[in-house]
Amino acid sequence: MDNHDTHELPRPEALGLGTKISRRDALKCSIWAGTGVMWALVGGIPRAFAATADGTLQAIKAGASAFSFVQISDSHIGFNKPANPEPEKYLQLAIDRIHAMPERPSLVLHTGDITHLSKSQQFDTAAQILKGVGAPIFYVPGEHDTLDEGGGKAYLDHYGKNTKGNGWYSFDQNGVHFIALVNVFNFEAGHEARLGVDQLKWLADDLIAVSNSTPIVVFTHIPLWSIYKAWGWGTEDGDVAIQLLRRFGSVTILHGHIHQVIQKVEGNITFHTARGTSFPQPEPGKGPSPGPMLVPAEQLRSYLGLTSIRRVSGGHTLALTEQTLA
Amino acid sequence: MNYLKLACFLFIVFLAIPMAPLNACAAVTPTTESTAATSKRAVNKAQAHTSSITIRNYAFVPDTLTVPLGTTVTWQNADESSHTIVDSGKEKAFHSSALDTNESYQFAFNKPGTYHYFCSVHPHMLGTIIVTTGQ
Repeated sequence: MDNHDTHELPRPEALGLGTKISRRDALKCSIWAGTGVMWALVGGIPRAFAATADGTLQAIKAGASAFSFVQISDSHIGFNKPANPEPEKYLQLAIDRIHAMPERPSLVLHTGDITHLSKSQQFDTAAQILKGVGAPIFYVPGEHDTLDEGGGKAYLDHYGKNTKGNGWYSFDQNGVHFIALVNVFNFEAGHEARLGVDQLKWLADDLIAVSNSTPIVVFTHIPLWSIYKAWGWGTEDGDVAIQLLRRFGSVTILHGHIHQVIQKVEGNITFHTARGTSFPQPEPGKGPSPGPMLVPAEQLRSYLGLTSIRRVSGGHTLALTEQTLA
Repeated sequence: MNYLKLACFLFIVFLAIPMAPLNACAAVTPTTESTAATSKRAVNKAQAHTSSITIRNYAFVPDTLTVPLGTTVTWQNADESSHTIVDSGKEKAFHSSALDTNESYQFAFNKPGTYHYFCSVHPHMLGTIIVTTGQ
C-alpha cells in the first residue's frame, strides 16, 4: 500500500483541484462504503455521507460538489492530409466547447493520439493548445504518440512523470477511481494490442484497495474489447483487465483510436469509444482500410466531437453525453 | 595519317559505346575485354536486384516478395496513415522509422532466408520477403 500512498502524479490537490483525496482517503471511503455510505442531493448535487461509529453522518470531502469530466481523443496534431488539413483548429473548437459547458468539468481525459507522428514540435503544439483547457488533463498515449525513434520516449518525457511502466497510473477524484491503461507499446506481428503482464499485475494490485461500490473509470487508447480484429481494433489481453473489473458496481471504460462512437454494456461495465477531434474513420469493415475517411468539408464537424461524463444524482453510475463539433 | 587517326578514333568510340552505360572511366580509358565483361555483369546484377513494395490501404502490396540475394527492397507509403516496416524476427534485421505519406524506406537483403515483417503500429499488417541464393 505504501507505494500507492506515494503515487504522486494524479494527486488532484497538486493540480489545484478544490477537493483533496489521497489514496489513503480513498481507502477510508472504501471502508465506509462497506459499512454505510449515503448519497444525498444537496442543492441538487449528489453528496456522499459516511456513517461514523456512533451512527451519525459525516460528509465525505470527496463528494462535496457536483462532478463531471470530459473525454477528448485523437487530436492527431501534425496531420495535414485532405481528411483534415487543420486538426489544430478542431482541437481548439473542442476546447471552446468545454469552456461553453454550463458545468465546468473538474478534469479532462485525453485518450491518446495527441500527435500524428510523435514529433517534438507536434507535442509542443498540442501542449500549447491544450493549455487553454483550464482544467487538469490526464493522458494516455495512442500508437501515434510512440512513433519516435525512442519508441514512446517523447511521450513519456512529456507525460510519463511519476507514472508506472510505460505510463500507466491511477488516481481518485470525487469518489471515482480513475485508471489510465496503456496498450500502445510492444506491438507484435499479427497480434492485437496488449496491456502486458506487468501492467495487469499492477492493475490487480491497484484494485485491491478499491471497494466494489466505488465507481471506476478506466481510460485507454485502443479498445479493450475486440471491435474489429482485422483492423487491429482490440486488445488481446483486454479480457484479463475486464475480468478484474467485474466485481465493481459501476465501471465505465473509455477508449479512443477508432474516431467514432461505439458503445456496449456488459453487466455493470459500460464500454465507450469516442469521436476524435481530427478526422473520421470508417465503420468497422466498411471500407478498404481503417485509414482517414474523407467527408465533405461542411460535414467534417459532425464527425468530430467530445464526450461529457457526469455522475448521475444519487447513484454510482455515470451518464455519458456525446457532443459533436457541428 | 588522317585516316589512321580516324580509324583509331572510331575504334575507341566502338569500344566506348557498349561501355558507356557501365562506367564513365571505361568510356575514355580503353580496358581489357575481360574487365569490361565483369563490370557489365555487375551492373546487370545491380539492375535486377531492386524491388519495391507499396503500402496501400493498411497492407503491403505485394505481401510476399521473392528476391535474389543482394536485392535492395524499397517500401513506399501510399497511405494517408503513417506506417513502419519492422522485422518480426528476433534479430530485427531491419526497422524503419515511421513513414508519412509518400515517404519510403530501403533495405538491402544480403543474407538468404525468409524474413517476416510487420507494421509496428498496425500489427495486423504483415509481409514476407524471401531471399534466394538462386541465379
